[in-house]
Amino acid sequence: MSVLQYLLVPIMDIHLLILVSIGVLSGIYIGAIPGLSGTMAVSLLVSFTFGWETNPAIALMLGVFVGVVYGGSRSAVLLNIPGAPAAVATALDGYPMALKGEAGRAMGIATSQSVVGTLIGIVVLACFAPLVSKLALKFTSVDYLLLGVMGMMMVGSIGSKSIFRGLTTAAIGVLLGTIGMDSMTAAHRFTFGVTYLLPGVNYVVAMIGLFGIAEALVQITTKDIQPIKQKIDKIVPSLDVVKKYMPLTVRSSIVGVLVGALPGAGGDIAALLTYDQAKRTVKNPEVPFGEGAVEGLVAPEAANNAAIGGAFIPMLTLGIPGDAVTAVMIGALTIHGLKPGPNMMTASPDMFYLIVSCLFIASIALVFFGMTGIKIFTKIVEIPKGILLPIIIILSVVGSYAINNSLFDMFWAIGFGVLGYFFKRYDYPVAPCVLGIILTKLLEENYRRGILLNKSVSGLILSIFHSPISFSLFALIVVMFGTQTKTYKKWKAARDAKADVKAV
Amino acid sequence: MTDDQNQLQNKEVETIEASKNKLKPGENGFSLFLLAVGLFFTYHSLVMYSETPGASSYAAVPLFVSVLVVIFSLVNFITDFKRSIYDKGVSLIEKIKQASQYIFPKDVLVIFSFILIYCFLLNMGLGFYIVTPIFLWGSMCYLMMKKYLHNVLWTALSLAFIFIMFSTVFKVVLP
Repeated sequence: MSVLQYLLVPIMDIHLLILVSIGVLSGIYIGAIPGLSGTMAVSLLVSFTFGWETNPAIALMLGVFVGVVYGGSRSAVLLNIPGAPAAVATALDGYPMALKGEAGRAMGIATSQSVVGTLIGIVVLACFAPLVSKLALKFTSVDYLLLGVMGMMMVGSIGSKSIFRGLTTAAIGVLLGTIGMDSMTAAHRFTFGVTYLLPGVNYVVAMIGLFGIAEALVQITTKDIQPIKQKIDKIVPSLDVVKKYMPLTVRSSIVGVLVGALPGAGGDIAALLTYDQAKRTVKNPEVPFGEGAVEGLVAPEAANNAAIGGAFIPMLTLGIPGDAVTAVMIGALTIHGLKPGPNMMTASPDMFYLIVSCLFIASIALVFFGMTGIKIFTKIVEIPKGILLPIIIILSVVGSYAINNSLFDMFWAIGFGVLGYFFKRYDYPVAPCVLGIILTKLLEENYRRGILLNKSVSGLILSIFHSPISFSLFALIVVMFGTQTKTYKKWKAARDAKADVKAV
Repeated sequence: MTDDQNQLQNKEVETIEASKNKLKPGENGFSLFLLAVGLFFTYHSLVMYSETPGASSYAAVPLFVSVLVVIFSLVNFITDFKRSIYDKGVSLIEKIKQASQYIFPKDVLVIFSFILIYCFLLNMGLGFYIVTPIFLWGSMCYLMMKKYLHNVLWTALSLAFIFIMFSTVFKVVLP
């Protein structure tokens, strides 16, 4: 059978088309609820579809995966509560848009970008999977460390009173991420004899507390302000709008695929990195970043969905999961008698192209379900705060409990909620704190591995100059840092002013 | 422009500058609190580091990051302290009073107490489907100050949603 025939199998099968669509639709709603994750949904489907044939089971799971990644943006835009870590960056400009009554427009843009991002991810998966997986395998611990540092550079991009406030919350995030049993030596850190602290801080719990509970508490102080009437007449972005942002979409999607292809790094890191990249590279956005810039929505939404295609690359070509969901999917494929790995493309090319094709169908389904449900979602913002806020609090509490069925996680979420409330009231940005917790594992484990491999800190630093990948990443960090300095900003402002004068 | 007009304009500029730089009640205290948190973690990191010193020690990253927390909090504290010149003449007791009123307005305090009581009752094993409707209805009635029957409907809807999503679909065993 030719590649085209393999690709057409799911498209011609109405049963699979329906299953992918059902998956996408339910995924959008699951993703919008903080605490319900894609991993949880796909794990559940593994047991649910145990007795099914392989193709329908995989089709349903893929639909849910795509829907969940996109769904996280819904609550991020409407309530400033990301449904999933991959939507943290979306909230930074999506929520300010909702505050201006542009939630419908924001969700329309998020949908279109997610679709384009998913499609770019699929193209890379279908055409360059072996190449990208080879590149991903060349990443050493030092490269992962540098990738983590690049993620931390985003702190400077999150608007707050001063960069030091962002750095403080980011450092607190990393510090909180180190609580618990050390994964390399099993030593206890900051547990003070409390066994409940041994598993450490779950970053989804932290996200629910810092965004969900904290936001609800902050909004109580403004409960008497009338909800903003949302404009829902122009939801679908015009082709011109999509074309206008296309260079940024493509750039962000490529970064999304590459980061998604790295085992251990997924859509959350990709979205944060691209938000930062967009903020640095976009000249004169119509609205400043952090105040409802469309570019701030385009970059993370394209990247986190493109990371889906990326996550499948190491899974299908090497048998290494790209993220938590693909780890579960390896289990699902194994249950159905398939072995993801280097032989998959030769032994079961039908499955490889079935996944590619189902992802394509899912992205098309996303256009319909993403655009049609917006009017209902925007109504959420118009519910009186006195009703909405207690519901948010309960959903946050239940969501944090549901992750591990643990009451202790619930207390963690409330603790983070209080911390986040203080941060928000005193203008400390909360996103760097979540970023810190997310990146702790990546940063610390790879730093220590790097030290052990290179014998010393100086050895680790020198190793950067021995590898082209490390050196490129290091050069990127230097550029990112350089563009954050006052000297560069002054020089850039002077250059732009000169250019304006010349233009006149 | 006359001298009087000049003086008036200068005063206006000063007032705008002062309101821009004015600290929120308790802002400086919060920087101090974060500094104390940083120092607490630095001390414990040092204790851990002394047990297994070295760049690859399990205490290396916590020590490095906690020192960073101290440094950044100190910078924030100094910056806030410089801005606190606009609060000159306000007594410490008055500042504490203003800070507690700002950070814990009555509504926040009441809802936060509801959350704590809710968690305490859940921890006591009272059951999710007993405690949650009480919390939801109580909070809604407090925040809305009316529509008691209307709130019963919202509570029932929310519970039904949680039951379907979490208990039925995702098989989460709620406490």
